[in-house]
Amino acid sequence: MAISANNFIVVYELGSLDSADFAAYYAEKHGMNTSTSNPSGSTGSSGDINWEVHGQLLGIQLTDTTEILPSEAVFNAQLLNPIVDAISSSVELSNLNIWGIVLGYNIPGGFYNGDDIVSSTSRLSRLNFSFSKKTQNKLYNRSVFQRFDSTDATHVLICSRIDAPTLLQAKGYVDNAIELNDQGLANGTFYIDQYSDRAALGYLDYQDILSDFNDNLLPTLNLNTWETTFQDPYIDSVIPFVENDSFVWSWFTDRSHSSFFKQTNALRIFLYNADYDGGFTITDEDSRRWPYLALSAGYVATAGAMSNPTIDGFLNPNSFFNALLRGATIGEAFLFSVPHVDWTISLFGDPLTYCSFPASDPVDEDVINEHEAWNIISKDLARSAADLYKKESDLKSVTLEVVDIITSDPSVGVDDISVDAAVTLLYPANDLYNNNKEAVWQSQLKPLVDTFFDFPRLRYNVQTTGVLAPNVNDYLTEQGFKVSRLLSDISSSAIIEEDNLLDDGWWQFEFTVYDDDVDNYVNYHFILEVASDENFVNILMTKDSYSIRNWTYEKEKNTFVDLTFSGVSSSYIGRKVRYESRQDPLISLDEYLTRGETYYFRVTQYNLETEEEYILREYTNIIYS
Amino acid sequence: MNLLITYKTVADLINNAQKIGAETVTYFDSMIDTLSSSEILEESTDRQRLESQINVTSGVMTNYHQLYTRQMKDFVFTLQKFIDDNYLSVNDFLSDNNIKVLPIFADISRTVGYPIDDENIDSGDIS
Repeated sequence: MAISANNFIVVYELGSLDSADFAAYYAEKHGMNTSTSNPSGSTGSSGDINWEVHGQLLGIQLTDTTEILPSEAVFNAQLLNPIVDAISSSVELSNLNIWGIVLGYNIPGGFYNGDDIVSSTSRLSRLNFSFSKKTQNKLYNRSVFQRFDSTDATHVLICSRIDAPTLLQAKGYVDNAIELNDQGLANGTFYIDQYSDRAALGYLDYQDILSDFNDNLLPTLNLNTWETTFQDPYIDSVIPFVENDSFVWSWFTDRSHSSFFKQTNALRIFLYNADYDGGFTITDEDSRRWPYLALSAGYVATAGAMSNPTIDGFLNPNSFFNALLRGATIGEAFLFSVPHVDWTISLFGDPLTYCSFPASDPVDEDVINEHEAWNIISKDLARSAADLYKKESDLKSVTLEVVDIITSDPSVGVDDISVDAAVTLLYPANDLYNNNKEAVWQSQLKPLVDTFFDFPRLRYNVQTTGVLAPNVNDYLTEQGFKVSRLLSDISSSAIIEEDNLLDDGWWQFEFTVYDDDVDNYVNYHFILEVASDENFVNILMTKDSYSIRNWTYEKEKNTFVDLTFSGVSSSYIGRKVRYESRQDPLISLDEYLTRGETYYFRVTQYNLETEEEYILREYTNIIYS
Repeated sequence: MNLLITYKTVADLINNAQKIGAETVTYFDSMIDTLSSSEILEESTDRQRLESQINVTSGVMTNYHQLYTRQMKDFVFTLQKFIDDNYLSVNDFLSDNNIKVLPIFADISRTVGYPIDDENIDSGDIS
């Protein structure tokens, strides 16, 4: 079930007509329930703070409505505890599947905690967990995209804040959101600023993220783009102004002016400037911080930090726009792109808005790239050949066993029955073996192998590969693939070059990363054991991915990169990890295994930080090289 | 006697050969699944040509490696008949000599007219 307004509640200040008016306005625009079916079960108090529920609206009788509350204790008393109590004890809210919270007009935006200001939205997104400052967001930057669901809601809620200097302005923000949902299509320019005047290591990491986005995902949105140019590492490249804009993603230069936003005929959808205090206030009409300016200029949503989120706390544009592109709401996109919770960054604006792009539909995760499909089929074909190779070997052994009945051990002597047995069984044993000899099973596979090896030549005779109508060797070289010698031996029409063949005995083990610690964001490493028996009595080798050599993981679909000491994070659940066998005579290293034999593999994921080991997963694999 | 030593080895080899041969069919199913999940359009003649050949080869694999071939049945029949002719029965031979055969071998034996009692089948290890 995709997220909808039915999954949200709106929090307002009980006793404030303006705040209640705003909540009702938002609810009406989204068709939310505002009626009370059981008045007696819809009111309560938390300490000395009263609350009242009307359908999906929760009024809290705040005694402190300053934008930033003085402490966590005050925040808990004023907001968190009443919300928790109301959700658990009111009839209306306890029956809702609550996936998100909108903090409405005049609701505090955060609280001081030491030198930091924790945003209300970030803290409330972890409503059912105790406060743990700057906790890794379990849903951050998931490599395998999925829409927010009920399981996700057990980890983090989608929380947003809609506030403004005036009620009219706050309602205007809602109107902008509804207009976007009605129109749907993003039609304005995307302004991106990749460069700042910061040059330390962490800053360069974020610049890399922005560059990656600019080079790869942004072009697929098919929007007009405008980007800053690099001048000098100590000069902050800035966007001078925007017009006909739909998105802005920039960093530093943390103050601006309303004149930055020129005329637009496009829908203004989302602006983010990565800086240290943009979200400090959105109710000060004199503010020159980006979130307030953006909302005032007609942007539907924006985000900003109330205090320094640190560089690794900035939003990630890749996960944000990947989510939007796949139909997620802005609330989901924000949650998937914010690295930490119980922290300083807040989403401002309507979380239930969404948009489409003039881009073609993104390729579904389940769709296999055609070159990758060829490679997968190559492996399956090789496995089938390895099976028949092994079958032939077994049946040859049967024949030898029959012969051995009378020849194995002369000292034992040969009885008449054994002689009869050998004579009787030899012909059918030999017949069986002959029917499964190499020449026979190779001839059974040959038409398919030939067709398969000829596939690239026929397929890419007009399409874009490096070589037009490539023969199989050209194709293998271009794609970086290798094939089994078992297949090469079968084909008569193609001679596979040595460089394109797998070594005899080479193997690669591939497995999927599982969510073994459902409550936490974890960096995983892996222990791989290989045994010759299914009971793992005879373990041939044990490999720990912390050694990283020959370990790779699927950073993006079908793109494998070297594993690092930091392991593979929870963001990559559902992606693959590979270990590739090594052979190096110079150091007497030989991990290669016997062709046609089946081996038993088991993998244990472990937590890099705590060293906790999770469950064992067992697999079998035939050596097909 | 030597045959006693050999019987168990041969029966297990037959079991494993039949088992691994039958497994090949699953790889052809997997190939079809891969093509179906790929971005190569179903209407593409390249895909259709490859898919057709996979299906043809899968049929060959089924006939020659998943089903019990005449040669496979002949061998097991000959082996079991020999035992039956020289002992009270196959099952007596197995139980008297404390031999347990694997399930696939037992099934081939049943197919050729020599059913094996459950107590003579090692169902705990089908490898």
